[in-house]
Amino acid sequence: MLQIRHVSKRFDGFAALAEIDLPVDRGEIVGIVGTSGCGKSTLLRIVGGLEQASSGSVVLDGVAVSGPRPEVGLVFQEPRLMPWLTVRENVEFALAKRPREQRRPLADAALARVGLGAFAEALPQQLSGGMAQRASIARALVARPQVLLLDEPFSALDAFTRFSLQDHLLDIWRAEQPTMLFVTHDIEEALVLSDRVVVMRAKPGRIHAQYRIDLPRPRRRTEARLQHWKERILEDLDLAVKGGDAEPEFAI
Amino acid sequence: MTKRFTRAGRAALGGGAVGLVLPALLLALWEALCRLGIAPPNLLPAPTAVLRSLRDLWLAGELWGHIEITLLRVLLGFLLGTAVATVLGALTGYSPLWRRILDPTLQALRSIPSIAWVPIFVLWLGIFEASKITLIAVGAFFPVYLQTMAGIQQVDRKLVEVARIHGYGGAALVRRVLLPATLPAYFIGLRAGLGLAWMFVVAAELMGASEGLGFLLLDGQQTGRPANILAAILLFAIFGKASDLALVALGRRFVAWQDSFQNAAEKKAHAADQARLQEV
Repeated sequence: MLQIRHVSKRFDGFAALAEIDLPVDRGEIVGIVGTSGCGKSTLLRIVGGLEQASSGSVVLDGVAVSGPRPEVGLVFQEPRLMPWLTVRENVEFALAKRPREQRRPLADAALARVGLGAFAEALPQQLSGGMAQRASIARALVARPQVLLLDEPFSALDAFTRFSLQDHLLDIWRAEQPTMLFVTHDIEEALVLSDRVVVMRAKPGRIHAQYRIDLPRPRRRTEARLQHWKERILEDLDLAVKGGDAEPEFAI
Repeated sequence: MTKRFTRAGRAALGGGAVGLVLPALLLALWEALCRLGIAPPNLLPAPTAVLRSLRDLWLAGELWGHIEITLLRVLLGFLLGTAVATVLGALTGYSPLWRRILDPTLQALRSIPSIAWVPIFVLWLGIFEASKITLIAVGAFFPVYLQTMAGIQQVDRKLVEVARIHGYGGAALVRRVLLPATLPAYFIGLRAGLGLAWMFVVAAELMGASEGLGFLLLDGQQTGRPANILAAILLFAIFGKASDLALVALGRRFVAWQDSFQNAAEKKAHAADQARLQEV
């Protein structure tokens, strides 16, 4: 299991994160929502080993995380594919430590899982935004990580592509059961995907509330109980009532 | 456009052939002016006279020697300048410390018009090959240096982060990410550097040489043979363009991923031209 223990992060005296405690069960899907500047992306980058916590620790199966490691896969808001490599080579890029003869079959299998089997030879610039993001998910999954971290993975996509990729991500999760920790500013996305939704607030970045979403999957986006949670989360973020002291930069 | 324009004619106009119309007309005009005796032949020989003098030089057996030595000077100067520029550009692009140490000095040197080095190079290195090749190397150095530095600096930090996540560092990071990401800018630098190498070989050969295409220019002036001057200019143009094309072909092999994108843009522009022609 993944444990985030008393993690704080300060940038030049500014407290980006204060004492975050968040245990995540193996195979659990945790969605983190919050206003801009609440430190949710910073938290994800610390868990991924891309940044160091000022204090506290991240422990994965008893081992402290101090840098990027193959057990943890990362998906960013942008696909971040190498434009000079084909889609298959981009996925193989994550397999540098494996023997050469294993790379291609593993990469092809990962591409098949995200439905890009026919595009292995294409260059990233030939893909649509949704396809490129699927390729980057294939790259994150190809080494079979135990934990998958996703930083606003679908926020740059149109609504239809976003819905289909959300469903797709759940298919992958059903098949491989990775622990998933994802950051989003789309409350509905968090509710549709997560076992647990963590609400963060800023100044300093901290966990404000948590909700266990004990609905069976697949969930209907229009489900009444999801609306109920959505309202509570909006209230948590001071966004429920128009004209309340909502953070002006936050758009739904 | 009139209705007499055939489909084939339109296709030729839409393609590269349209660019040949103007030079062909100018050549014809030039030849006509000379034939009619309007242009003085001791100043402006006809195109056919230039070709004849090329043939005479070739038959005299001295032309290939001139071409050979000029090509060799360009090649050696370009390789020398490029080698030093690549090392220094990589250093200053990769390390902010080295950039602070080296770049201000190099930028200061860059503001010296390169021909101004000629007297001191001749004094230091003599009138023969060493000073010429050094001058050409200086010319080729700056564009390659600047593009290498900028290319490495502009590598997408996010891609570097992806590489680090997957355990790439040191040589593997350079080979798998920094190098391929820098190559497009590097090839732009190489092309500009090669262009300057050709420019500087002329300067180097004009300042004192007993052979080479630049010497042919000077010799043509001093012996009052304008056809030889124009023949040498023609050869400069041909070999300059040929070497540039060779470099482009080489670059295409390495940056095909980027080229395919440019091709798409070109095709789009071409299609728009075609559409406009159809409307007329």
